[in-house]
Amino acid sequence: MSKSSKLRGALSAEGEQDISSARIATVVVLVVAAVAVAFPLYWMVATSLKHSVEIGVFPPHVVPP
Amino acid sequence: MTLSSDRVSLSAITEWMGSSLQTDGQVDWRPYMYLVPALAVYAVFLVYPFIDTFLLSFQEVQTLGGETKWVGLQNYRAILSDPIFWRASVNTLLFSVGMVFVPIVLGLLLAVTINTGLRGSTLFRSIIFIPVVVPIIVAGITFQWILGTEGILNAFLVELGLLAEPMRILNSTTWSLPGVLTMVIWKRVGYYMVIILAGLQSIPDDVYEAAKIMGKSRWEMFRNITIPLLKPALLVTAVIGVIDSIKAFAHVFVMTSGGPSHSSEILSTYFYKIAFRQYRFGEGAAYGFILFGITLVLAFVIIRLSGGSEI
Repeated sequence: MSKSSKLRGALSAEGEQDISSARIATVVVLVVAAVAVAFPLYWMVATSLKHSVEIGVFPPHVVPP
Repeated sequence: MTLSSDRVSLSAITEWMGSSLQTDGQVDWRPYMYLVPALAVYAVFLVYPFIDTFLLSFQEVQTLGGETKWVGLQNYRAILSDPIFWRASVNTLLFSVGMVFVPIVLGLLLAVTINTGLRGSTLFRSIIFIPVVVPIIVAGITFQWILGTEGILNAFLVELGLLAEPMRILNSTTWSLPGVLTMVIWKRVGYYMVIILAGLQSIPDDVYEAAKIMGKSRWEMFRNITIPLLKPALLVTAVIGVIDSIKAFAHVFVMTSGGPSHSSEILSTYFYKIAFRQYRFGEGAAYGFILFGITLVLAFVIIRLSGGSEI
């Protein structure tokens, strides 16, 4: 690829598309990370709302009553 | 002169200070008296216990304060020939890698994605940072619930059909340390992310603009601009991580207390067990000095790596 076409690639619609696909990847990474991080925090709150008998139930209730 | 008058004039002080630099070559001890309170605290709470522990490490102690017997280097030999000590050493190394390397890589990834200035990225940044402020005991117990045999993770995996029956994590000899590390990574990613994010934001945009005009790819920019310019921030995170991983105790102690059969034992938890569970104070003191030596070597390496600056 010549230098000028590279420059065009960076500035043209092709570049825009590249940015939007990168944006999707960004959102996916952030959402996965946020869910993984937030789940234990949710679990602390959820367990705090359960009856002490209900805590030991298997399979556990994801949403406290 | 005396300092008993309630008002000491400046000239009197300077005169007195001047008199401490006597011309006859004798050192005036009076100024040093002002250091005594600080030195006394230092001596009582640091120097004395240090020396006492050092002496204790050469003795056999039945009960603390009771009769002791000098045994030379036997305590040190006992510790260094203890297979569990070596197991704990290897585990500490793995623990450090899991506590430093993995969260730094994840934190870098998250910092770079957040730094793209996506709308709502402050929300993600806040969520990912929350675990840092969660007390270690709370985090440990929560992860015990999640990773337990009857925990939500097992229930989920069984439900999906990935596991035929609940898997033992914290009470298995192979998975106990990775189980503890899951909690540690969860807790540290946000911390590293924030430090790296600050580093990223200190990189001027011009450099990226220049690279863009030169037609460099995103990866090339990351590899040749971001990483080199982030080096100070990465070094700081690595040093903080290594220091914290040596000091780590509660992480393992809350979740597995080193078990099962010492599979998640790290140096600090085994140290605690020898000294305060089995009451082998002499060996405990020797263990303490071995740890002290390890820490000293690591501190030296860290200072050399950082070139004595930045930290």
